Amino acid sequence: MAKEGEKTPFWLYVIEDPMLLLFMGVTIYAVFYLLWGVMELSNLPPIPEDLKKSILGR
Amino acid sequence: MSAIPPKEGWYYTKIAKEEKIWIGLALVVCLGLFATMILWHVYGKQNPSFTTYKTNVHEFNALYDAFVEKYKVGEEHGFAVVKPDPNTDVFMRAQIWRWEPVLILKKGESYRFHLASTDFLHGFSLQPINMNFMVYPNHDYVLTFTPTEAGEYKVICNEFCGVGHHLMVGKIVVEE
Amino acid sequence: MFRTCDITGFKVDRKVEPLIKANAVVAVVSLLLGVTGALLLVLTRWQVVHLLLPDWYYRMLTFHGLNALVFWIVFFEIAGLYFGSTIILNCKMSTPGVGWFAFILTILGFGLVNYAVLAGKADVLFTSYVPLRAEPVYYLGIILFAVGALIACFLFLANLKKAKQEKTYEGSLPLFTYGLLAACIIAILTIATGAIIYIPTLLWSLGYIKSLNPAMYKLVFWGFGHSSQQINVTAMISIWYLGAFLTVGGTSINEKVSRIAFMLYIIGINVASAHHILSDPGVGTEFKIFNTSYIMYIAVLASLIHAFAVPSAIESAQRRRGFTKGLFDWLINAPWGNPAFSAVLLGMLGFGFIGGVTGVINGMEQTNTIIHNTLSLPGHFKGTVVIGTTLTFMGAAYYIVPLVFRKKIAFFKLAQLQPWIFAGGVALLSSSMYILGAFGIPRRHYDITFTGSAFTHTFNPATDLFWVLFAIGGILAVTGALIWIIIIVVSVFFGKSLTGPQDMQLAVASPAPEAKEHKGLEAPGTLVLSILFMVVFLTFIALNYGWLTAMWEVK
Repeated sequence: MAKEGEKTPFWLYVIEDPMLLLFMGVTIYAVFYLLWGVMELSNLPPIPEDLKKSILGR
Repeated sequence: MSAIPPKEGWYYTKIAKEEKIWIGLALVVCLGLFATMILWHVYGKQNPSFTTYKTNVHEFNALYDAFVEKYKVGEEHGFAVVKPDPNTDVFMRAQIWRWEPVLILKKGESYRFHLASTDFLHGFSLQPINMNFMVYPNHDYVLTFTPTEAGEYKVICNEFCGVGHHLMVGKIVVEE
Repeated sequence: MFRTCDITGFKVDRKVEPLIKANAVVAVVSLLLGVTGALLLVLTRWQVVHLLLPDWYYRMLTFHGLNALVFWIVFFEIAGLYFGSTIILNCKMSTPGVGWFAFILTILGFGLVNYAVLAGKADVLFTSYVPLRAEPVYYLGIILFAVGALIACFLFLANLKKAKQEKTYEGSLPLFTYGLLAACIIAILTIATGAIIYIPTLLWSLGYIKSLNPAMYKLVFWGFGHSSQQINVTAMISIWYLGAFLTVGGTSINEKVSRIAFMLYIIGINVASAHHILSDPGVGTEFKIFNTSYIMYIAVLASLIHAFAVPSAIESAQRRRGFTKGLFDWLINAPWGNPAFSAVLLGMLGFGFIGGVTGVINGMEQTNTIIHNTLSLPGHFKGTVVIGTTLTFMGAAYYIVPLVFRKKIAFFKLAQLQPWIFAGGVALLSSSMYILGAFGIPRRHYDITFTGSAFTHTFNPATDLFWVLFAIGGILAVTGALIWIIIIVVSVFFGKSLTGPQDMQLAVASPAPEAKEHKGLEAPGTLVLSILFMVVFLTFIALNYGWLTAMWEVK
């Protein structure tokens, strides 16, 4: 807790607020792990045509 | 105090000297580890690949069959033995419970491996040098290998793929 | 209705006690199931015995994983969450009825999953990677269990809110409860991820969805599977702080540092799920490096901070009690006769030197190639979740029995030995597994002689020795766990009741006296130990990267 009469320091405010912590935890994880991962997986390229041609010979 | 609320003003307590030393040291080590992974991509020669292609069973089987037909030199225990030219694309198929084909490679040459499964997940585990990668269905994992030593290598499966999982062994021979 | 504890002075809500007890009892039952599985598995993988047939080997692997890694730990954690948010805060449980509803859901899930596995309806292992398919009842069980656990997490938050409103504590949350809050937040996002993955999987198993993308499944599954281990880590560390307080009256030498470390966990630890897809196709290098580094190792930094904060709390308290000689007088004169203390200390050492060091190797992009899916992997997590979390929880139970169940600890002499037997066994088991993995021995594998296969591979003969050590370690660890279960069951159901403080076998330490004058360092011994740890850690990383250079080149 902050000292009497002083403004609560920013980091103290952050670490004391359960809902803010929950929000940070969920957001960072959802964006950097889930969303980024899903986007990479859904944007995989197909096997290049010229590679297929060179193997299949047509 | 872990079971009772902390004393008032806990937020303003000075950090002890040894704790500062430790946190500083830990921070440097952490950033060092992070840098190591990046620098290894620049200076190291063993990095998992960047490339995956989307594929499907039908397409991959067609490529696999064409590849085997082109370079086949014999057969062993019912497995095709294939000797691809250096610097070409090599197709290896994982299927319950086989790694196909048997490959003959040349030491010091590069081969662009395409690894895919036609059913479940499998684990490509190259022995005895112990390099391990995952193989998925419908995903063509492209790994460019350069064998550095001649000898006989085995590919075992190290991801559970059903009750015959332990029978799944393939073979790669590296010639001088 | 409150009773006031005559030992700790806490006000105890009579409605919360049975809830804590019920969850704790089921936790012990789950551990018993898990340990039984462990014994069968050790005796199968050690191929001198090769006990089970392949189908039952994989079935037992599924069974062991779920009971030991999920049910035992989560039931115990739920008990801990209720404890930390009511008794520690002198507060009532907000809605005990909902607590019982959650309990029924978790029990149903527990029952369905174990039934599905033992009936052969779910031979998919703990990870159940699609397209391996279990019958719907399995996924349904997991979902019920997860919903119950999620409700318990929200009850924890509701209790915190109630305590704050009713001002049952002054100022900030106690550090133990604060740590549990971090665990609870990680649990919420873990379970939400579980819903994202298991609900489609259930629909797929029922036939409503035609196919699932295996890469997507694996990505999201580990968002659930790995994060759930981060809950354990966080809960375990909270108990370490509590343990330091209860056993020697130690408090974190800087509360701010410890709390910020917990916050760093909340921010950075969850993305580490990417450790499981480092050697996989699909996601790119930037994703891998960014996420497996826990966003530039902020979670590793937090672990290193805790690793210093807990022993320094103990050291500082001990020094203030007069054990000031030399570097390690405080450690030698620590209350080693208190099984909770030795459990916490051994848990910390094991978790750091075995679990932590190997974990960072596993979690680095390139060195992951060496250990991925080898026996090193389960070796690593026996060094985290077994010697760390499980042993710590066992230690905590030595306080729960007298304080919550109000029973004396039976066979107290044996209880004093138990943490050593268990820690010794797991340390041996875990290190031999890690070494076996380095020789290329795969995990989840029935027969490493490959009998009946077209080609076979013979592993380095040195592995024979480590298999023997593996078996000794495994049997010792199982023995240690069974001793603990017997002690707890006998104490709780057949033990002598505790009539008052005079019956307490473990000390409940009073806070250590204030430091007199501040001269020099507060915890020099801890600093030396920590630096020793760092040297081991860096050496191990260097060795592994050195080893990489001897492999085939790959890019």
